[in-house]
Order: sequence, then C-alpha cells, then structure tokens
Amino acid sequence: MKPSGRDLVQRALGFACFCLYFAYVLVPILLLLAGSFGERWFSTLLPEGFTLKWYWDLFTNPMYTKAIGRSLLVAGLTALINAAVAIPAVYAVHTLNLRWLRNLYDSVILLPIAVPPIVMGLGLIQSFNWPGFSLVGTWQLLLGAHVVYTLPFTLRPLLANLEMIQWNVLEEAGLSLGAGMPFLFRRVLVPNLMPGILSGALMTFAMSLGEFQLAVMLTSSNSQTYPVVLYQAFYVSTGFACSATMVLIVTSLFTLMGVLFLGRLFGMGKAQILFGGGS
Amino acid sequence: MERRGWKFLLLLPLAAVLGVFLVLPLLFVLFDSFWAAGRLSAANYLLVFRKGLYSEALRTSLALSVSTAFIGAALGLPLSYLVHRSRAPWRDLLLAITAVPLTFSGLVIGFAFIVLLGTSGFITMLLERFFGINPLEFSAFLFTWKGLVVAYLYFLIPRMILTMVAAWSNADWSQVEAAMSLGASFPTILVKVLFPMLGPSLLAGSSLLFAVSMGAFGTAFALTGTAVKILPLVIYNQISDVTVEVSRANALAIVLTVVTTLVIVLYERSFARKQA
Amino acid sequence: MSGVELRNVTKAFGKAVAVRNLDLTVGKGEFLALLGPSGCGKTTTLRMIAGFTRPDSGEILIDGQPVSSLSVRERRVGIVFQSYALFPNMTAFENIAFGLRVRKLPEEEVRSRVFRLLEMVGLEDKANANCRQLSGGQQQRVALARALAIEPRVLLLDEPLSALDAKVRNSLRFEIKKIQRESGITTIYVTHDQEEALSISDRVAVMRSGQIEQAGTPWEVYANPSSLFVADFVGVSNFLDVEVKAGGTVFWNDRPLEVEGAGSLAPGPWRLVIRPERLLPVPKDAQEKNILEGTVAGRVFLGPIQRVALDVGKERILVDLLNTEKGHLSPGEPLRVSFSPGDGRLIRRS
Ligand SMILES: Nc1ncnc2c1ncn2[C@@H]1O[C@H](COP(=O)(O)OP(=O)(O)O)[C@@H](O)[C@H]1O
Ligand SMILES: [Mg+2]
Repeated sequence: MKPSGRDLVQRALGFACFCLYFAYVLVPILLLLAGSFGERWFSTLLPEGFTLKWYWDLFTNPMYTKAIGRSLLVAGLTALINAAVAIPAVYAVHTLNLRWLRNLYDSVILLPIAVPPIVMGLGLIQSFNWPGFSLVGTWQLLLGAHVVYTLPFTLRPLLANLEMIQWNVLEEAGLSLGAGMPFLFRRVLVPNLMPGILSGALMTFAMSLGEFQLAVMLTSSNSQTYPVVLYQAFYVSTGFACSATMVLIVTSLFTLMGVLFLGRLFGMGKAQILFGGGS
Repeated sequence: MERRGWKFLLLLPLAAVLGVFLVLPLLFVLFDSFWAAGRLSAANYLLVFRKGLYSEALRTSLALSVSTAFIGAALGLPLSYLVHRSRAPWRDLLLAITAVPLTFSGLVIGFAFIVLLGTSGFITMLLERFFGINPLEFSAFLFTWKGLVVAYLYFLIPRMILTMVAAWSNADWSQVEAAMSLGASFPTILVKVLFPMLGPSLLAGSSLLFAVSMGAFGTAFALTGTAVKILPLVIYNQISDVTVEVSRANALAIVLTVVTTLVIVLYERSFARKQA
Repeated sequence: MSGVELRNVTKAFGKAVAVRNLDLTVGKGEFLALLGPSGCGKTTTLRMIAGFTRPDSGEILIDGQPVSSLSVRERRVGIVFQSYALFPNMTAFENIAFGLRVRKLPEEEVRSRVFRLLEMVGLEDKANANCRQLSGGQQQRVALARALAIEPRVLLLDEPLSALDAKVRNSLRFEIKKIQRESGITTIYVTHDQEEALSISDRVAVMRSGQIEQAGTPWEVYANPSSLFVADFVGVSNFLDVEVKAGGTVFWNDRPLEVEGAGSLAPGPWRLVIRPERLLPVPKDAQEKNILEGTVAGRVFLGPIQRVALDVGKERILVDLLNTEKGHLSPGEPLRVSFSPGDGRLIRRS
C-alpha cells in the first residue's frame, strides 16, 4: 500500500524531530571531543589543528593523575560498599513482601532527590567536625556521602532483577527440592542476580566518579577528586578543559554501553535500570 | 519452617549507612537552624523571608524549577511519543541516546554549554557570522537563571522522556479507539480520555524535574561559579564565608529540603494514583 | 495410613482467616483436587502442607507422620507452581537434576534418572534447551519432572495449568493424570476450574471460605451436592424455591412435585436443585410425573448440546437437550420437560 500524503508528512516530521533530538544530545559532546584534539580554539567556529598535547598534559600532571586515582578509589569502594549494603536489603524487601517495607523502600530510593546534595554536604560538614576529631576534608567522608547519594542506582536494578526472576517463588522451589540457603544463594541467586549487580555497580561507579557537588564541599586540597580538579581545568585553556572533560564523558559512555549491553544480554528493561538520582 | 525475623537484620547495614550519613547530618542541620544568637529561636527562618538575598534566591530557584518543569514537559511529551512510536532498532537507539545525559556529571554539562553557547561558543559564533549578533550580548543570558534553564533541560528532558515512555506504553489505547468509534471529537478525546490517562505521569515527571532543578547546583557552578543566586549556591556561599553564621545556611537548607521533599511526595503520589 | 492428613488446621493473616478448622484426608496414592473460588484458601492450605507457612493451630501429617517440626527440605514434597519457577540460569536437564545434585547422587545416576524423567514428560530432545526457550507447556513439563525427580512423598500442584492456553491445558491435564497413576504418588491438585477438577482427580474437595464444603468422588460431588454452594460452583444447576409440606409433598409455586426423600424432611422452605441435563423433553400427551411446561425464551448452541432457557410461569429454568435428530428450537415455541423424582435434590434454604 502506498503511504498517503499525510502519512509521509507525519513521517518526515517524526524523522526531523528524531534528527534534532540526536543533534541536541550529541553536538555538545562532539564539540568537546573536537576541542580536546584541537590545537587552538579561540574566536573560531571550530578548533584548528590537531594535537594530543592536551591529553599528554593531563596525564602527566600529578595533580590530575592523583585526583583520577583518588576518584577511581572512591568510586570503586562506593560501588563495593553499595553492593554489600544493598544486596541484603533488597533481598529482605523482596522476600519479606510487606507493604509498609516496600513503601519505605520506595521513599529511600527518592531520598537523594528529596534531600539535595548541598543539604547533605552541609550536614556532613557540621556533624563530622569536632575538635580533635574531624573527617571533613578527607576522602573517607566523601566515600560515605557517595554511598548514600548513589544508593538508588544500586537498589533499583537489584530489586527490578529480583522481581523479574520472581525470586520468592524460585527460593521456595529450591527449598522444596531440598537445597539449603547457602547452596541456593550460590547456585541460583547470584547467577540470576548478576545483571542487576553489575549494572548497578557500573552506574554507581560512574555516578561517584563524576560527582562534583558533594566533592567540592567535602574535600580539601589534598583529597580532591577528579571532578573538583576538572572544575579548575576550566580556567586553564579550552583545549585542556575539553580533554579533561572528555575523560568523564568517555567513562560515562562506556558505563552506559555496559549497562545497555547487560540489559540486552539479560533482557531487562533498560529504562528501569537507568532511571533515577539527581545530577 | 517460616521464620522470617532474621531477614529484618539484613536491612541493618542500609539503615546504618542512611542513619549516619543522611539522617544524622539532616537532624544536625534541622536543630542548628533553630539556633540564633546563642539560643533557640526562629530568627534564621524569619531572615530567609526578610533578607533580600535569601528570599530572592528562593524566588530565583522557584522560577528556575517551574520553568524547567514546564518546558521539560512541553518538550519531553512529544519526544516521548516519538520514542514510543518508533520501531525496534530506532527505539533502542533513541532510548540509549536519552540515557546519555543521565550518566553525565553536572559539571560536564555546564562546560559543554559554555562551549556551545558561551561568549566564544559554537552557536554564538554561528549567530555572529550569519546574523551579525553580538556574541557578548547573546551569551550573557547563559550566565543568568534563564541560561540555567537551557542547560538544565539537557539532563532533565531525558528524565521526562523516560517517565512518559512508560506512561505511553501502559496507556490503554482501546479507550481512545472506543471514544473514536463512539464519534468523540479530538478535543473531547484529549480532555476526557488522554488527559486522565497521561495526566498523572505528566505530573509525576514535572515534579521530578522541579525537585531535581531545585536541588542541583553542579551545572550552575560550572557555568557561573556562584554568580547566579539560586538557593543551593547561596547556601554554598554561606559556608565559605566565615562572617556569616552557619545557622542561617542551615535554615536555608531546611527550607530547600522542605520544598524538594514536598514535591517528591507529590511525585510519588502521582505514581501511586496512576497504578491504582 | 493416609498420604496427607490435616486435622483442625487454622491459619489467619492478621484478622483475615484464610483457613478455618480444616479437616482433610488424602489417601496414599490418591489424586485429590482441591477446588474452590479464588481467595478461599487453597494456596494457603498447600503452603502449610509444604511447610512454607506455619498453621496457627492444628496438625498436619504426611504418611502418618506429624510434620510440624520438619522444615520444607525435610518434608520431601514436590511442588509445581503456576509460574513454573524454573531456574532461569539452568537448562531443562539441570533443572530436573537440581534436587538430585543437592542430594549428592552419583552423576551417572543423576543422568539416567533425569533422562528417564525427560522421556516421561516427552522432552528427551530438549535436555539442553535453556528453559527460557521452551514454551509454557514445555516449561511446566520440566517443572513437573523436576518435582518428581526427588521422589516426593506428596506432589503439590498449585493451579499448574492456569497460565497455559486451552489446548495445551487439556492435553497436559491428561498427561499429569497418567504420570500420577503410573508413579502412584499422593497428589493434591489445586484449581478453581471445576471441569479440570472433575476430569483429573480421584476425589474432589470443594473449598469455601477456608473450609472443606464437600469431599467425594467427582461423580458424588456433581450428582449429590451437599450444599447450594457446591451445586452452584460445580456444574450448572437450576434452583427452585419450594415448600415441603407435612407428609413429603413438595410445592413449587403451588405446583405439586414428587421428589425422592422429601418425606423424611422437616416441612418448610427448601430449595430444589436440578441439573439441566436431567430435565428431559416429553411429548404433549405424556402422563409422566413432574412435568414442567413452558415456552422457549432462548437457546445457546454448545456443540453436543443446546442449552434452552425455558420460561415456566414467572420463572426461568435451563434445560440441556442433546443435539440428536430434533432440530433447533425457536423462541416462543412451547416445550414440556420432566424429571424423575430421584433426580432432584432438596437443600435447606437459609
Ligand atoms: N501472605 C498473606 N498475607 C495476607 N493475607 C494473605 C496472605 N496469603 C493469603 N492471604 C489471604 O488469605 C486468603 C486465602 O488466600 P489463598 O490461600 O491464596 O487463596 P486461593 O489460593 O484459594 O486463591 C485470601 O483472602 C488472601 O487475601
Ligand atoms: Mg491460589
């Protein structure tokens, strides 16, 4: 059947929106990418020349490399602690199957938006700062803050995962077949929960790595994480700033690809995994 | 046998982490906000509404959040429909693209908009070259709260899209078809069928956008330092300024938290209503 | 010795009593269908037998042994869930082998037993299929084989066919029946589908609001419902509000009827239950007992039978007519039917 004129107009309109939206999301990233390899970018439309100088500068500058290392440490630990805290909790929420607990869980998921990071940071600065004992300015305190801030990113996919495999019924089936809890956890729960664990950990890692708002309040000059030094890079030169920004963009994109790949591999709802948290 | 009590213990680590790093600090802020001139009082709160800087910050933040919620809904709704209607490979691509801004640090987005719309940004240069628009005059808006609206939308529209895509796919299209078969006009269908069907999700999405823009400051910080007087940045300024009592910052923080929490409750309620 | 016995078992969730003073005995090797509307407590009963839920009071015995102190694992019951509950990370083979490997059986024996079970459920060629690639019916076969693999003392099935479409449901129903007969395992089969319950089981227990309303062979329950609820829930019935007079005469709207056993009943208001297929057409001049004469109000064609709505006086009754040589009836036509005194059942009206 030949599409009617109205159909064609609709399709063209849809395609135009599609392209515009693509451009809207991707053009800023492409500009930063171009800027990071450009030799000069001053009062011109696009950067001129090609150089790897900015990346070289970035990765040879101890201030930045140290911050990258610290950020990787904090992000890695955040993902680990989150998994250790969230897996048992989500297991309990799912298997206890109590309405009030489920409602409480739904509220916890929203906490980082309900309590903005500026408020959390303000509270942490004051409540962990006592004469003779102060954690303010240490990466350890930032770690605690990041654990709370990124919790939804770990909790969400885990619970979605448990609900998808209907763990409650699987556990009963396993028990009726004579398996003990440790055996069930090892042979059934962990393998089936892997997509949730991994995508949660990936998202958490990326969120912690790029987190600036808490970091700028809680770290001091010798505990700065990468986003904090990145902010200072904005004042160095455009090329350098672009390359420093690209580092975060690339990790974000890799994370996203990982999560989408996991989602595809295990057939989980992508939106469900990704949704949440404050920027 | 059924012995489930031990499972509550599994919630302890989560409760401990939340208690130490969220509830405790929040309580600290709350109590200290009622502390002024060495005694308990509501003076700090009165100041929030009296002192020009504070009340203006609250107004600016509200203006920013209302604008992002409305514009985000207006742009996110058609885009979410586009995602909803698209087929297999395109749909996945659109969803992936939509998720991209969600993984970015607010700082990255701030800098991206400097490169895009800043004084020597790409679009600014384009406009100068082809329409002779003064770059300084054009880019000045980026560093006001209106500029923040533009930058914030970059990470807010995707949230709206994801909320609404779920709403579109849960929507019961047979209701629309039934209304059409009964001869209802488009406006009638819009008011009587589509709005009740999608309204709760739209409200939920808008409140999410509102709450996030109320609380976020990373992007604003990257764009303007602390030059734009939105609530989180004013609070941030207070703690770096030794001459100001931190109790005032605490009062501001509580006001901010009350607003975001109320809006988030609205968000949760709209979802609950949709599922009922 | 009975296979499963429940003695005065009660279970409440908060204020809601799911199972109330329930007594039930299932003979060893017997296939019992637990039939009842949704929410009547069937699943709760099954879960108490399995050991997932602890009764508030009462006692449960399996093979004559009280099991209240035994864990789920120790009870050795096989369970088939409505949602299959196959382990998604395992193949059909691994799922069936699960219970055997837990028991650390030698691998050759596991293999031979699993293949025997696969053969029994007709899935020899699907041993290495991931269970997500199997159809719903195939998944439920795997689940059945997995439950049977541990040679359970009792097999519990909770609406195992409700998620499947009609055709698969019918064929699997008879397969379950056949496998149960061959293995001789005591089986409790929960369903809300009366046709399924009647066709599959040795005995049906009809449940209502947490209690057993009636238990008996499918035939008994269908032919002699002990309550209005059973008469209504199992099959289709006509309910006629009648008066039983002293001496055993029965009046329906002043029309005298003869019903077996009415003489021994207390006079007063009763309800007469007659299955539609027990109402037989009679010729105009026939002088049978219990003749009801009316006009056809409508009919539904049901394949082998036609179900006719007949207006008798002010009331409407249903009559099932075999589709033999007699053509179809049209609305408005007169029709005379009668029933034999032994085919009506009187149940007290409350
Ligand atoms: N875990 C539970 N918590 C609260 N109420 C329950 C629970 N399980 C069952 N019930 C209630 O007990 C009654 C019987 O439920 P169930 O045994 O599932 O019925 P059936 O399987 O016959 O549909 C229902 O009213 C149900 O709401
Ligand atoms: Mg049930």
